Amino acid sequence: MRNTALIGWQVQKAAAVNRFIYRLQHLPLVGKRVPSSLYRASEIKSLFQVLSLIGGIVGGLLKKVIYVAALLYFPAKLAGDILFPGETTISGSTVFLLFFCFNLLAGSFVNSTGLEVNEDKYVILNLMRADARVYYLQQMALKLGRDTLYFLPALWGGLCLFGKLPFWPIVSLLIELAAFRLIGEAAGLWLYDKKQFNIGHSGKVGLWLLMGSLPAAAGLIWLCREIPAIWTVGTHPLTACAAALVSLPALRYLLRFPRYTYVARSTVTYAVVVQGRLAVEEMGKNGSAVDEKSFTSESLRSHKFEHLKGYEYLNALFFARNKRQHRLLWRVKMILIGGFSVAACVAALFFFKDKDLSLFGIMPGLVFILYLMCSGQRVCKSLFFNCDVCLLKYGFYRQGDALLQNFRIRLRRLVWMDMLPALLLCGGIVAFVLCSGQAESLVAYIPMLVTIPLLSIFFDMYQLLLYYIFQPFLEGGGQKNLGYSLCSGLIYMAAYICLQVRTASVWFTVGVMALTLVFIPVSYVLIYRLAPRCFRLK
Amino acid sequence: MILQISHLQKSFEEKKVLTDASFSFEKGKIYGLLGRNGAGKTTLFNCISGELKADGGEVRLLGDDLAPIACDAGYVYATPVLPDFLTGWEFVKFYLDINHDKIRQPKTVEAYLAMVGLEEDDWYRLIKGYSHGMKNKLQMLCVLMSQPPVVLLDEPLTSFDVVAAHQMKELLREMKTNHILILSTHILQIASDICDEIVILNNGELRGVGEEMIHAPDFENQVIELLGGERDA
Repeated sequence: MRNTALIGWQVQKAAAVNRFIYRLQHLPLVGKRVPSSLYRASEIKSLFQVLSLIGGIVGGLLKKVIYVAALLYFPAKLAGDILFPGETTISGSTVFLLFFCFNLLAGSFVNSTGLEVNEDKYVILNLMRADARVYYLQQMALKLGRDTLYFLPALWGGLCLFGKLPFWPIVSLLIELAAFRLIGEAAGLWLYDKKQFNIGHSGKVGLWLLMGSLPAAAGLIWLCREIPAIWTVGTHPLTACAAALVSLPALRYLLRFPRYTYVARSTVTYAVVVQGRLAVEEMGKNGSAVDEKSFTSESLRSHKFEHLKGYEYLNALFFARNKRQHRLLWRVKMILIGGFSVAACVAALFFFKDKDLSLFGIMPGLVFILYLMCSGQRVCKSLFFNCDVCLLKYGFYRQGDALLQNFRIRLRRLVWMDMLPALLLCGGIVAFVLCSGQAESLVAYIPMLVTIPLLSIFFDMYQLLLYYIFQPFLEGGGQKNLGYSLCSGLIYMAAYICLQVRTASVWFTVGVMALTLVFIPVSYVLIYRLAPRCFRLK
Repeated sequence: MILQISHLQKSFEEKKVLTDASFSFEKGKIYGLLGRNGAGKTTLFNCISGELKADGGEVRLLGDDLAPIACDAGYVYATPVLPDFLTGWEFVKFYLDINHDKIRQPKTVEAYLAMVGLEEDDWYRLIKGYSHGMKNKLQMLCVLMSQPPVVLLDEPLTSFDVVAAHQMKELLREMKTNHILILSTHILQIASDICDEIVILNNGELRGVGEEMIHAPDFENQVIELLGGERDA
């Protein structure tokens, strides 16, 4: 038993260290100085293993702190501000109800350690032929241990910050978490064994559970807003003991479950883990790939774009075949902008008639909104994994002229895709100005109305330019490029800083316009100079 | 036409893959490139096609009049790389559009697809749904359309069924009169069946094997010996 745990740990750590060295080797500038001999330098690798262990613990703790802050304390504070105005402390009952819905219910049933499939598991169970029962039980115990270790300081620290110091309720909460996790693991295995139903793989059930937990939490908080005793009852030692007792049959089931080997053989298969890896990465990170079944034989036979030539033809087909994945987000954007505009107009007409409703100060904020509206990053990913990853193998595709031509065509399509939401936003602003009785100042809004589409073009161009001069995506899936991350981060920071700017100055608008107009020719020059060297497979 | 490789060197960090590779490949012959796993066959192909920059030495293509010409090499990969979102018909049309200036006496898209034996029903299916062999046929078709002077084929026939492999062999035999064809393979039967000459890549160097050896009864043993393996008792 000890041996299996040791093998598992060694494999995971060795893989983590090798991945770390691999990433070091792919860093710009310094990467080439990292020799491959590091892979066999056992002393350095041992050091890396210790560092990676410490990093894992710190990272795990940080993740839980962020999770607790973002999903428990922040919503609890928000709910408190709405339901109990004037109170400075957060409601313990609200925290408990959120924890109950997100972690005890949804988390326990969606995240099954037993049915989770990953490469480490494949290596240990299939290649190293470790005992499946021992391995599964160890993994479950490890997960419980990790959750307790990371949640304890995150939950308690948060409560201390909000003036609730008692430690023992958190221990009760964690005992309940462990109990629910055991029940979730047992239920997952039972469903898979008896009904061949993998709850983790059933995207719909998982999604409904996760999505449902949010309104469920909100509903419970609303219903129980007058019952402050929920925290006391929920974190009482007796409740924890009751939960532990209820989980005992689940623990017994897990310990006596005879078919761990069957579960391992049928879930952690070569096809799922190795062959499915790329597909999963593509589906998960880059949106859905083109599915043959989505197209009728007639549509594939139709020579709709036959009149187009070369790259125009290629891109027309690409955007047509991938329309579904782009259209959904486009619709969401249009609905949000349209809905918000209508709501703002109604509010201006009926509720805020006598207020000063000038919009001149919103220009800096619009920069951030337009950054968020830009589809560039998503489309570039899709372009790479569905098209460029293959065609970059062909010499003609990497020629300067071809790259520039492709860039121009793609920019045009991207700009067109994002232009309608930008124009709708302009329309919304005009409608709001008219509804709020500022018709006479409409002319003064012209620079803003010109800047919005220009900014939309700027962000699209910026993302496409970064794609062409850094090409951050890896042939095998994923994304790695320091320059790309830095430049993407920089534009995000700049857009975010604009959000904080409180100015109605016309110079701000003029500055944005000038930047956009200068950027267009600059990016063409950069593409022509750099892309033939940099736009390649990695 | 001669493809002249002189003292080609290529290393990846400390690992020297090509140490001093030299050989002259001539038009009108199909060359079989044999080497053990990791010997550097793909690296050599990448250096010839220009995908990789060699550390030393040179690759020159000499025309029929022995004057240097641009080394334009068509590469057929062992794992086909084709855009999945296009149909076979669309890919061929796109390829024809892009390379129209290089294609002498272009045919119709349909004629090209029929040339490699793709059924009409498959012309209008997404490449994503194609079998490995069908994708390989499309890749081969790119070479047939653009007719580059040098054709590099990495394990070209292993994914074909018996009939398709026979058709491909015939195509390659037809092509060799105007091209330099180099195919890498691990399968000695393919090498002896289709190749006019065998070139061994071992210890980073190229070495030609006499034509007579290909049809010798102990061909396999001789190749194993040349590749540094143990000979059968």
